[in-house]
Amino acid sequence: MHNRIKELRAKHKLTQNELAQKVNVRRETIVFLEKGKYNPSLMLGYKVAQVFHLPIEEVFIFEEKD
Amino acid sequence: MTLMLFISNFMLDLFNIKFKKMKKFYLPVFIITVILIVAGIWIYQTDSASESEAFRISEILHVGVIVLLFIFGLFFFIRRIISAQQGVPPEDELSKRITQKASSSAFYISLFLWLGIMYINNNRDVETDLLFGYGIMGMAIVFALSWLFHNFKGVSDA
Repeated sequence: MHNRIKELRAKHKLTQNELAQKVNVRRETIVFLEKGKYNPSLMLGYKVAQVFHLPIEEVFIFEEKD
Repeated sequence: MTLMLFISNFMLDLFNIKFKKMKKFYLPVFIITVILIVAGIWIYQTDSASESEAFRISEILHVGVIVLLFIFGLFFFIRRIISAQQGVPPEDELSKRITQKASSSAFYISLFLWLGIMYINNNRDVETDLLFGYGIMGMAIVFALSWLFHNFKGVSDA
């Protein structure tokens, strides 16, 4: 699974810390999310999508590996 | 009687509120301070190298464990302060997952550590408290390294 958090964050002119504050997590969590080192919980994924006013499927893209 | 009950309830509520706030922020500081004071008193009462023979290795290990605990406590305390200043929570789902992963990894590695210590105990003449000291220090170091590893590697379950 990969995500568009970095791209959307830049589009909305948000810093990592600002996004972290909006979804009530630590800045390191946002860093790990952007690097793909962490798969968020459903609740956190939903909160991040809400910040960008997008459905969750457009923020987190799941690709099935064959 | 009613007045006394009212006053005691009021004091209890005040204590609970203060204690909850204290528990979240100041209690770790309090615990670290107590540990440091106890360690300081213990070190002061132990014979120093200049007066008689040098510290026994077991005493150095005991001090080492206390210093490690202090460093851990200080690290997490500073982290809490920085988080409070940035307006983010001190713990979130990622930090809890990292701690869980680090704990489980450290547990498995520590099993082998204690097997090694048992082997040393069976084959060499080493004091029991020294072995326990090595074991405890080893477990603390293993957990610290495990935490650092998972903190840098991440916890992707994909």
